This record gives sequence, structure tokens and C-alpha cells, in this order.
Amino acid sequence: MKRHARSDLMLNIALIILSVFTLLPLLMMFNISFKSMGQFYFNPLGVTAPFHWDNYVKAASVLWRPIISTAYVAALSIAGTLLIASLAAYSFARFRFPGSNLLFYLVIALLMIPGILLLVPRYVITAKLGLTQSFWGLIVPYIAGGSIFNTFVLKTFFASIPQDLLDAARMDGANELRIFWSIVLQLSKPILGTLSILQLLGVWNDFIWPFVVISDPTKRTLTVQLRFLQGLFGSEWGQIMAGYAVGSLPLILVFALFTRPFIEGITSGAIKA
Amino acid sequence: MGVATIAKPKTTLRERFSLFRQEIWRMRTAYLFLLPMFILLATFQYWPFILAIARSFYIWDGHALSKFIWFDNYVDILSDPIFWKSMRVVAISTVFNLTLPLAGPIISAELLFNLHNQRARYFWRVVMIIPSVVPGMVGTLLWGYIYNPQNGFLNLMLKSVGMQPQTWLADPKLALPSLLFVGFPWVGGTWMLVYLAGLLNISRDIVDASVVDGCSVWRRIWSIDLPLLLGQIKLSVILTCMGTLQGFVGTLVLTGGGPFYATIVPGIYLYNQAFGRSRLGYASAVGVIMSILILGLTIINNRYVKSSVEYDA
Repeated sequence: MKRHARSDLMLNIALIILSVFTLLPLLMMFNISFKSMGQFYFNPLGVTAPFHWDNYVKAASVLWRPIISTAYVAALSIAGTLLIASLAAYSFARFRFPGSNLLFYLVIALLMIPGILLLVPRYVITAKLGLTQSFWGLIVPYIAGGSIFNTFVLKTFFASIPQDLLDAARMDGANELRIFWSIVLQLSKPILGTLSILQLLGVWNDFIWPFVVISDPTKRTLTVQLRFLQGLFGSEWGQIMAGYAVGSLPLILVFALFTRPFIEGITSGAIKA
Repeated sequence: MGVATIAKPKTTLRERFSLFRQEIWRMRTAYLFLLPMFILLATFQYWPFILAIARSFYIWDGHALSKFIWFDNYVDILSDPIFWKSMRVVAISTVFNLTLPLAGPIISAELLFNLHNQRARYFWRVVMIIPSVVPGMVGTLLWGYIYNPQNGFLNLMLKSVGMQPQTWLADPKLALPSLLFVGFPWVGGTWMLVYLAGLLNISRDIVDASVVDGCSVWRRIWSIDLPLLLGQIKLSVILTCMGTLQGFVGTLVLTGGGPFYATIVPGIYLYNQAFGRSRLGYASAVGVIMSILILGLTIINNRYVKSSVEYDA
């Protein structure tokens, strides 16, 4: 036991050192976010009193709209992706029909296409459809992109639902849509939760697509607005850092509320991305 | 054999076709369920894919200007020194990302795995996840502040110990090393969770047996843990290669590819051609070249993964 205590002590010391470096940018962010301009230039590294909560008010005033926009885009993308992908996955998992294998491989093959190849032509198509400068120009391509991996995952999951259960419902006179909605989707809530988080992270963190599709400053998403924060606040580093903190808050909140699906989401994200 | 063939009722092509049509009609619900997704995929996946390849042979501005020029775009790209500069930068970045940034999460996962105190393990796990909860853009911008020449963290530190401040991302010599250093010490985040889960999957018996046999921790890590994590490590190698080859957002935000192309990567080269100069055909050709490279690398990686031994425990 004593040996365990000693080895644990060494490990904890190593972890403390590593975590200080890992968290340093964040600690710096919070520390500076409370500084007035004077406090920052006088003592940028140390903790200074009094705290300037004003910075947060200022930051929130330019970030609330992008946060709501991004949440709106994310919510519709998630709902759309889950609906469309689970319909498709149900079809692939539960029906044998001419061409089912071919069509499934056609979907899976898309996972192999690098995103960088599609950026330019996808932008041209989005522009031709008149979707630039509109949130739909984000939502619809996000649904298309997300549905590939979601279909792949959900197909495997739906295939594991016992056939007897579905047959029983069919016997009781439920139609396919009813079975899909009331049985299959109800049984899949945990995996749908994980996939939602994954999609949320993808949409929330995406920068390049909203950056090229929407140039209207009033319709900026969060990442794009964060990128322009330094231009808005100049050298008011306290306000800029408060802005970064405010921008981080929504995801931290989701993490706190849904820790388990969140962790499953990010790990499956690593395996996917 | 011959008898069976005769006994089987012969169907004409017409009958077979009509049966096929009946089958399709009978399964119409299945097709209906697939329809919404395939409409979207056709518009935003298949069509862009075809367009990217087709338009790489054109001078194209996305609107009226469109002229077929065979392989001229490809010839121009491959004879552009800036493109080769971007390939050099991306090669250096890939090699670097396969070293410490790849090993970091394995190291932290091992540290957590070897903790005997379960509550400490849980605590550190949460601490190490925090970086992946913060939006990537915030992380990138915070590193931008660290490197800020006037009031950045790094220069403040250097000044406080009486050393000469640097211009980091604006210095052609320092820009690329500074960019590669972003994310130091690379121990937190998602991959640590993946490796930790892998380690926790190793049967307790094997670990205990190694202790009974007098095997040191280092020996166990080398001979048991790492071979059992091989699958995850190989996946990380593949994804690191693919991610670094096409990734450019962090670089775009921090340096824009400069100064003097010191940090340009193919993604930024493509982006500038497309959105800066409206050379969409040219940019598509860059995309095709990168895709071939990524695909080739994936195939090589996959072959390597299949041919080597996979352990299970």
C-alpha cells in the first residue's frame, strides 16, 4: 500500500505539471477577462482586484446574437440530420430491396472524400441555390454532411433491434412510420443523444463554411464573430478575453448538463473525424 | 444438373423485368425512407464531387467564365513554387504531428491508468477533458494572444526575465515552429479518453500476472499496454495524416499562410486561389491533387494496418 501511495504521489505531481500547461491558456483567459485596460497594462499576468465584470457585459453585447444564431443553426441541423439519417438507416437496416447494398456503399464511400475537395464546388452550388447570406446555407449542407456518418452508426444500431418486437407491432396493425417513430426511435434515445452532441460540436466549432457562406456581420456565427473580436475591441484585452470566455460558456454548459453523452460524442468524434 | 435446369421454369427478360418492377413497387416504403437523404447527398455531396473533378480541367470563376483547358491547371500548380512551398510546410507539420502531439495523449492516459486512487483518476480525467470542451476557435485565438508581439503572454514572460521579445508569428523563421507548438503539451482532450478506455479494457488478470512475474511498469507499458493500444494508435496516425494534410483553419486564423508564405499549407493555397482570386477551376485541381494524396496515404496506412498483427485482450 505504501508503495502505491508513493507511486501515486509521483503520478499526481506529473499530472499537476502537465495540467498547468494544458490549462494555462484558459487560466490566462479568465484572469485577463476581469482586467480593466489600466490593470492589464500595469499587471497583465498577476491577478488584480477589483474584478471588472463590465468586460463581460461588453462582450455579451456583441456575442449574444451570434450565440443565438449558432444555437438556431445547430438545433435545426441536429434535428434534420437525425430525422433524415434515421429514416435512411431504418430502411437500410430493416428492408431487403433491390439495390440496397449498392446504395449503402454509395453512402459509405462519401466518408472517404476529403472535405477540402468539396469546399469550392459546394460553395458554388449553395450560391446558385440562393442560400448564401442565409442560415439555410449552413443548415442544409450540415444536414447532408452529418447524415452520412449518422446513417452508418444508426444502421448498425437499428439492425440490433429484435425483429420479433417489430413483428409484434406490425401484427397489432402499426404501419411502418408508426413502428419507426414509436418503437425504433424510442429505443434509440441514448445513441441519438450521442450523435446529437457530435453534430453539435461539429456545427458549433465550424469556422470555414460560415465564414465563406455568410459575410453579413449581423448573421455571423459564434466562431466567425470570435475571430473578429480583436477587430471590434482593439487592444482592450480584458474585453477580448471576456468575449472568448462568453463564447466558451454554452459548450461548457452542455458538457455540465450532459456529461455522459458528451464524452461519448467527443470520443466517437475522434474515431470519426 | 441438366435436369434441374430444365425443371426450372424459364423466365423471359420481359418477365424478369416486370418481377423486378413489382419488387421495387412492393418495397416503395424503403425507397421513400431513403429519398430525403439522397436528395441532400446528391446536391451537397455527389454533385460537388463530380463538379470538383470536372471543373479542375477548366478556367472557371463560378459564373460565366468557363473554358476547357485540359491539364493546364495541374501543370500550373505543379510548376508553382508556392504550391511546393505549401507541400513542404504540410510535410514538416505532418511529421511533427506524428511525434509529440501523437504521443502526448498516450503519456497522459498511462499516467491516469497507473494511478491507484480511483477518485484521483476520475478528477484528472475531468481536468484533461476541459480543453476539448472549449471551442477550437477559442483555443486557436488564445494561442494567438500568447504569441502577440506587443502584449502577448510569451513576450511578457521573456521581458520579465530580461530577454529579448520576439515577433513569433510575424517572423519568417519562427512562424512555422510557433504554429507547430500550438497545443503544447498535447496531453489533454479526446484522444486521452480513447487511450484510457483502451487501457481500462485490458484484463486485470494480465496486469496482475505481469506484477507477479516481477515485470516493471516500464516493461509492462512497452510489452503489454502499447501492443494492445496498437489499433487506436494506428487510427490516430491515419487521422493525424488526413487532418494535417487538409487542415488549414488554425493557420488561416493565426498567420493566413504568411509571413512570406512561411506557413502556407495546401488548404490555404486552395482557399486563396478560390476565394481571393476567383480561380475556382484551379482551386478544384488543387483539391483533386490533395484528395489523391490523402487517398493514397489512407490506402498505404490501411494495408499496413491489415498486414500487421492485431492483439486482443
